[in-house]
Amino acid sequence: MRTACIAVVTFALALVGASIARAQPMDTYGMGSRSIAMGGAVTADVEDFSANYYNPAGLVRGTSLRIGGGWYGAIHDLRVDGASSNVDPLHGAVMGLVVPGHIGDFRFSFGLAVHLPDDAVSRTRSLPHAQPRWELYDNRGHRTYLAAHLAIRPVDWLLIGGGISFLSLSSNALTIRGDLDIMNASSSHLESSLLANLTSIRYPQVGVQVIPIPELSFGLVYRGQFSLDNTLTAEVGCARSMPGCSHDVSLLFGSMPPFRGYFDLFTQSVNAFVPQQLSLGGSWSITPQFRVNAEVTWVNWSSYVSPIGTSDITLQIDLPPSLANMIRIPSNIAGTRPIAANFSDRFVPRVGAEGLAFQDSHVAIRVRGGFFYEQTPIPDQTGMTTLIDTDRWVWSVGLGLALIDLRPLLDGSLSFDLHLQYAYLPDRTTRKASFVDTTGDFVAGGQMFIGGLTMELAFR
Amino acid sequence: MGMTGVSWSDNWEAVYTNPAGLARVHRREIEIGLGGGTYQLSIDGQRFPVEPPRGMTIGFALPLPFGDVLRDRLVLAGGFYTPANVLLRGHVDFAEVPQWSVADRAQSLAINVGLGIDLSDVVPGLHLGLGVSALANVVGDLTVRLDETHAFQSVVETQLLASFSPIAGVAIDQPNWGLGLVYRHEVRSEMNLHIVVSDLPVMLPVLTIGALVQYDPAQAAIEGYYRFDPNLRLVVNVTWRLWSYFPGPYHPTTDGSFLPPAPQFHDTASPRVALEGTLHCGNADLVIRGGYALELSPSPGAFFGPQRNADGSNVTMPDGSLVAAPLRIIDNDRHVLTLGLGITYRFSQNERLHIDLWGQLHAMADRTHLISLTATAPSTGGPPGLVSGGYIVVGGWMMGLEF
Repeated sequence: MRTACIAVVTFALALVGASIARAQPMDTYGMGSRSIAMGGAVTADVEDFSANYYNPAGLVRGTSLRIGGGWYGAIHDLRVDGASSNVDPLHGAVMGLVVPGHIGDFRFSFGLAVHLPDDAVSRTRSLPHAQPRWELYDNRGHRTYLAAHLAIRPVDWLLIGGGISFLSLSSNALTIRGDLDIMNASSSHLESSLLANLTSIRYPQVGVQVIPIPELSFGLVYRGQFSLDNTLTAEVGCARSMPGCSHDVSLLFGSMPPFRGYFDLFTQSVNAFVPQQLSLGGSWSITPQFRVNAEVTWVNWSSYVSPIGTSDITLQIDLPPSLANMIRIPSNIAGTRPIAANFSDRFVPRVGAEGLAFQDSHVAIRVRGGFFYEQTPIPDQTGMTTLIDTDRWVWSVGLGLALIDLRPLLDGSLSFDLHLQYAYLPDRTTRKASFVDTTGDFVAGGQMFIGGLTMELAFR
Repeated sequence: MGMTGVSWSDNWEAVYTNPAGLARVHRREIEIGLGGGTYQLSIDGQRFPVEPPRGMTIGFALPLPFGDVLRDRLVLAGGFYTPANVLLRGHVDFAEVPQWSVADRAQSLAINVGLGIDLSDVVPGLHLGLGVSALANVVGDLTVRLDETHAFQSVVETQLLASFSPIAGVAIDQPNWGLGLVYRHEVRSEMNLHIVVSDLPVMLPVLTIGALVQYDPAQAAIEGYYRFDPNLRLVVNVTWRLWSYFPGPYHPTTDGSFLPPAPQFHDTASPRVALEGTLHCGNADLVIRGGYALELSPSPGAFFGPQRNADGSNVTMPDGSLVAAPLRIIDNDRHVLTLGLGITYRFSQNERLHIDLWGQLHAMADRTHLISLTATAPSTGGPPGLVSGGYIVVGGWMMGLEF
């Protein structure tokens, strides 16, 4: 048996060094209808596939093989000065597995979870620094999440799970050569070479659950920090400082002899920063039919990397004297530089409850509710940047229907869980320090409507 | 095992080799592995640098414990391969620059999911399987604008879109022999980033960063195995790859851009053979595997061909003659020798740990191409064609639990 334990632990370590996960829209929208309906306060009380996000230790809490899937949608009604900010709705599918096993008395479990937005696997967007944007909701949800975890239960009261993560988008380098007709761009004959990388970033996620008595459990989970870096370089032609360069661009202007041109563009920005987080929670079954959960999450927003990226542009044209009066080449084109975001850490309190409303030999119905409060980490935007955010008050409710007598086809249960969530973002007034600021003073606020359905097969 | 498995795969790897093989899985399993290699490729005797592949694999297989008519019927499985440092790498150079577009295809995240169906109660030994492979496509826009103060503003938006390709297979097991047949649809990953620059003193057209950065052709494989005795198995496989549908990696940079010659790839058939022997020792099994595959090149080699317009038609001179341009997609026939060693330890009837080591040597047959490394135009009596060759060594390990 000792050999078996060593084998599983070795395997777990290998998996911790290797599992895959991607960015986390679940920070905002949650994962799995039961967990969302309970306000996300499930660090100490989760055992379905959403444990891959909330606490991987929960994967080894139950003994059933679970296969789940569902769909969710979020509508943003976010406004600035009363006008809609047109933050895109988000919708997609979630799927997951919990595969428990044991070697002798040693219990372990493997978990897998996927969140797939409907329209794109992943989206990054960087905007000019002065353009107002809902920094936490405009684009951060448009990510795929793919997580694989392993959990072990070395003793009955202690559950440990972990995995690590991820991917990054992207770096692209483009080199262009050929003839560029500056009178008629469509007549240009350009060729390109491409070097593009989607590079991977890894971040850890580990969690524990402690169950001192069946009615009481505690959970602690740590999620690491990561961000998506987006770099693009486009080089058209050869600079004056590049003797021997083989990708010249000739500029054509009517019947004049061709002359040399060079255009270089570099942009780099950070998208979808996810801060490290630590959640500590408890769950108490007051009666066999009723459970309450509470927890608090520390979110390290102060490490936030500015979404305002670096960009540079270089333009060199060996203009013939006869064209000097017709085409003006700026001597210098200003780029952009990152501006510190100066976010603040925050603590997010969460509470949730679940009650058994009805049960007979065929069906069980549960009702759920939850609440959490997120204080905005973004300071007053009095300067050049306009990163919009307000506090968020979030209420959720849910209903679970479990069919528990499906033998002989299924020795287990088939459950359907529904969740509805409402988020209120109270108005926040921003006053710019400069009277000539192009954005000016504004009031931002709004609400979100989120809903979804999850189905799960549990094999006993 | 000589890159075989269509007829005999009996673990999660069947999601790729032949999903029908998943129906042979009777225990839950998870597996993890690491692999890497080195490229020693040469052109005209000079080493040609190619970044070696290195990545990790995670797989699982899950017999679904339904009852009644679905008892021991369905097996769900998934496999993920992710390169160590990149999830998708695309490198498409100018057409006249030599590039190993076929051999250098391993730098991409691959996701496979499959379902095996055991129909042995209908036809003895019959299994069916279905699966999908997913790969990422990248699309996006970069808009650059110069304002009145000569400061420029940029808006960048990129999206990863998933594309899915089906895999379907059938397998039959009999006491001493088995057959398998699988079809895998083509898998492609494209990049299309558009750069729009406005308000510059010269007019730039919309620039497209576009390429077909990853392409696996549609392929069909038929394979059979025979057991001389319960511990010795011979496998024979033929795999067809429909490379003739390969459109080439290039997308036009602008609407008026010229494209290099079409790659003129042709379909290939790859014969493979493998042998597997098993030794038993108490609770442990030792498995020794070896194989050989002949991978014929689909590429006509480096050549001069007709340059094309953005719409694919040939570029013509005013006198109607074609414009010749070089295309140096380098590839060689490969002799692939494989060797593997596996150890399985049984904790009990249903619980096992196994560790597998594997290695491959890809020996490139020297090839003399139609054009030299430096020729820029067709000519008679020019320098001899470039010579490509070399070898690739890859290897790795897998560790899995069955329970």
